[in-house]
Amino acid sequence: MRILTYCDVEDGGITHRLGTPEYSYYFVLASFHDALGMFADVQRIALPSDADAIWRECVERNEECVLLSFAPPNKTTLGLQCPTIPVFAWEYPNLPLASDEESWLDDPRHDWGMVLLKCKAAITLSTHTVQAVRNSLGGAYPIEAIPTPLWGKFAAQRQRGVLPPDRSGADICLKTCLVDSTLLGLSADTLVTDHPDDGTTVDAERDALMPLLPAADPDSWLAALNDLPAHAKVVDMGSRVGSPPIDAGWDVPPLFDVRTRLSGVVYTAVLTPSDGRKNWEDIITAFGWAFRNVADATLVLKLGGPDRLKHHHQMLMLLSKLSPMKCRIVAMHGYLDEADYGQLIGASTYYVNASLCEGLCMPLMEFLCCGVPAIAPNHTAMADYVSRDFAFLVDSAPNLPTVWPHGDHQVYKTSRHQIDWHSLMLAYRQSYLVAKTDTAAYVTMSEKAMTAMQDYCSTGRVAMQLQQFLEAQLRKIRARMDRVNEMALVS
Amino acid sequence: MIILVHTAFHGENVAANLGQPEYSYYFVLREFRPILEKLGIVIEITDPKREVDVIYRNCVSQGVPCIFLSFMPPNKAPIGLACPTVPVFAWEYGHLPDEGFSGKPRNDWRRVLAQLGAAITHSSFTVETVRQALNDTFPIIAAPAPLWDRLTATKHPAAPPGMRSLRLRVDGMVIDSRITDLSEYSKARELACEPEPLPLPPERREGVSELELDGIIYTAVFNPGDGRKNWVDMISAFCVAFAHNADATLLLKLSHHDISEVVPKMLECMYKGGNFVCRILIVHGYLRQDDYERMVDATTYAVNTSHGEGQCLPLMEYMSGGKPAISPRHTAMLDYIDDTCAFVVDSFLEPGTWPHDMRQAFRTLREHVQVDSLIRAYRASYYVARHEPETYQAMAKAAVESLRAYCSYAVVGPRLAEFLQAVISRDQQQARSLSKL
Repeated sequence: MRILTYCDVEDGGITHRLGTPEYSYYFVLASFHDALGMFADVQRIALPSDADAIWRECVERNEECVLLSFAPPNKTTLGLQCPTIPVFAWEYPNLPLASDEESWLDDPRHDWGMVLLKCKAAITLSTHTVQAVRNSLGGAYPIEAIPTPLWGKFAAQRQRGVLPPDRSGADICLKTCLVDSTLLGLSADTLVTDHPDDGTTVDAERDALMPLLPAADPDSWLAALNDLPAHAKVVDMGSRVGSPPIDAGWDVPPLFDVRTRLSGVVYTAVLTPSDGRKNWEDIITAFGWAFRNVADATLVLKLGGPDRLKHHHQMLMLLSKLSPMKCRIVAMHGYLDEADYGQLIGASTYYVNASLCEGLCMPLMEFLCCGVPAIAPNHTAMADYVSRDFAFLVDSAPNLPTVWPHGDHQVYKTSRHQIDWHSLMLAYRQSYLVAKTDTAAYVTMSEKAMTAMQDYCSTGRVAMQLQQFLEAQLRKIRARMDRVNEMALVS
Repeated sequence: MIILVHTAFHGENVAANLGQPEYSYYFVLREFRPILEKLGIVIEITDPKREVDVIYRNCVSQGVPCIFLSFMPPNKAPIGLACPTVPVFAWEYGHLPDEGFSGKPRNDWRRVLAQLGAAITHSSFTVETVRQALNDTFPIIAAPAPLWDRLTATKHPAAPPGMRSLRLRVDGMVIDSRITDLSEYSKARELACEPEPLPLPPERREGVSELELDGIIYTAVFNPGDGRKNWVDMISAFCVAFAHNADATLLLKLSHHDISEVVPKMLECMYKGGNFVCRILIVHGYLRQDDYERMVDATTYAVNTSHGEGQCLPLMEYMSGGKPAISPRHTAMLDYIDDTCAFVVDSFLEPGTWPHDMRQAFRTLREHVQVDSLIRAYRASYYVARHEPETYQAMAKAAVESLRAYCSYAVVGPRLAEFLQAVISRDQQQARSLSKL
């Protein structure tokens, strides 16, 4: 069997397109290649139109051939002779219709149902999307949920074994633009807003009559805390020395080898802030509120995508509104290479996701593959793999109206999930207490995460799923072609 | 007993100041006045610093008990008066202001309250919040605006829901989603018009007009300049819930003097709602007392989706008048909303700010309704109104009873009388112990 793969990003071009919608498809395609290679000859093509020539050659030597198009249906090339199966991610409960948006009227492919029917079969990444497609096209439509096979990629990372929760033992040294909240001089009193003064008077003489009261007691939720467990060597930063983080202020610091220690319980989220569904505001505010009085909790935000300065300012605003707080927030802007990404995973106690919807969420899977338990909701794609065994579940509710992410942004056409902020805040605190007081429970979560992910997204398992699905579809395609040929002969 | 009362706005200037922070205290005082008049002689004060202690000293010399009720938030209550001063204030957050922010010591309400020594608020929730911030025995009661008797006295016999067709006379502005070209209010048009708001729709009616209401009517009365009211979720969820129900109407009665910025935003919210066949009405203007009563009468359900309430006068009015509610059960609503009288909307906590904090720092949590639950509450209530008249009547009855237990004279009167008496007794004891010296 010959499998052609196509994605709208050239091999060398991906670093320029980080944070764009296409880049996720590039990573999905790259991850699928190994699994496909286990049962077929895989060939990446530069243009969809290249497929037909190869397909004709295959037909002549009686070899089966199919094109997997790693793109959303509206960017899938139709009308090829080569059978085309779209591989796409989708995080909403219904499919777009061309009539939904004015700007879509010129391209009928915005009618995703029509595209999928023409293609006769499709692969998506989650059961949630299978359901969305079947709601539109009926239960018999051939579509399979196959996750990106990420398990194998982290074998080296897993060789350290299961780690205890406290990650204070070692520095990390990463080449990144790093913003450290402890160097920002944060204060709510410096906030300038358009909120009016309410005219409360100051009268020194009369004000002095009021009794002085001590500041309010900090929250009592920490009372359960015992002694700290032992530290562990968790990251390998090689022979790099690096320099400490520098004060950021209004600018994002430049790119250099930053050496720092992520203290205590470390929470990490990898996301693109401009992608609204990632809901990074809740990730920040719930963390800041939960750990106002906790010095050894750290939130690491590994941020990608455009508008870096805008998001830096947005974060400064949120952090100022939350301050004073003892916990620490570290933002890393831009791309991390594989080794540095590995250090970050090694230094993380928990991964955090508070998304309103997900087509898959590869970073969450990657951290789970390395035995990092999570805080996450279990809606949309996460329902396929997030479990209470290794995640603190965040409550959410469906049916929050929203616009199409790739449409005109004018009228609600779909919905996503509403995150219960308070349950996220409590999940931070619960997970902190587990990390601090119950190493055995933490280690069990870590082990269970890895077991579940191996079962869910190992290359072998994904290869088997792909092979069974593609063979079945190719059988059907062959049968259809045979029928067409017979009819041609008869007539 | 002499009861001195003060608030920032009065009958003549309140209409022009409906957007100001303390405008609602005028309406609260108006509701309290009759019950206070049963307890003593009420004197309205315009300048507390100059007037209160003069009257108080005269009273003391005549042996007449005297107390001063400041219908203002604690940071605006006069301190240092000889007359016992009790702030009567509304609060709807779980954290009392406990910082003297913006360099103003009175913004630390704990210090103001500790100095004044007693306070009146409107809900058990806030009594609890104050006691947590000060101490478990701080003298404070929940006395909601006692409006139940006024509403039940004028109540017309309730007709079965959905059977009514009523005409209201409105003197003001009426916008009807049915005849308004909502596409003029797209996000794109709004951005193109910035920083100016989009103009009001030409299809609006101004001046005196008649408004016909029929079907299932959901009514919300609120000040759209008040960010707590969360009309975005109220409107969005309505559009989703009743996209295919032509006989569902959301009536938004606005009380704010300047609506030129907020109404276009509401229309944008409706446009975003897509192709719905239900009807949304915006009414902004004066209703004569009998027309206001007809509006209550025409209403099937009262709607509230707010982030927090000190008490919520309109919801209390409608429920006292026998209208079940669509409402979350949090803050003040904990005292009168439950499943027997309302379709309870789930809510969760999120970061909030103290409304008078210029920094708008995150210092408290506020509630946020769960939109899915709101959509379900709209649909369930519609079903009940259409198909289960007995359930509806039982809920209407339960609403009247729940509000009687919360804000009737019979309930609030004795609580208030006892509390004021205790404050006065303490003051007299203090005066006696001082005079011995």
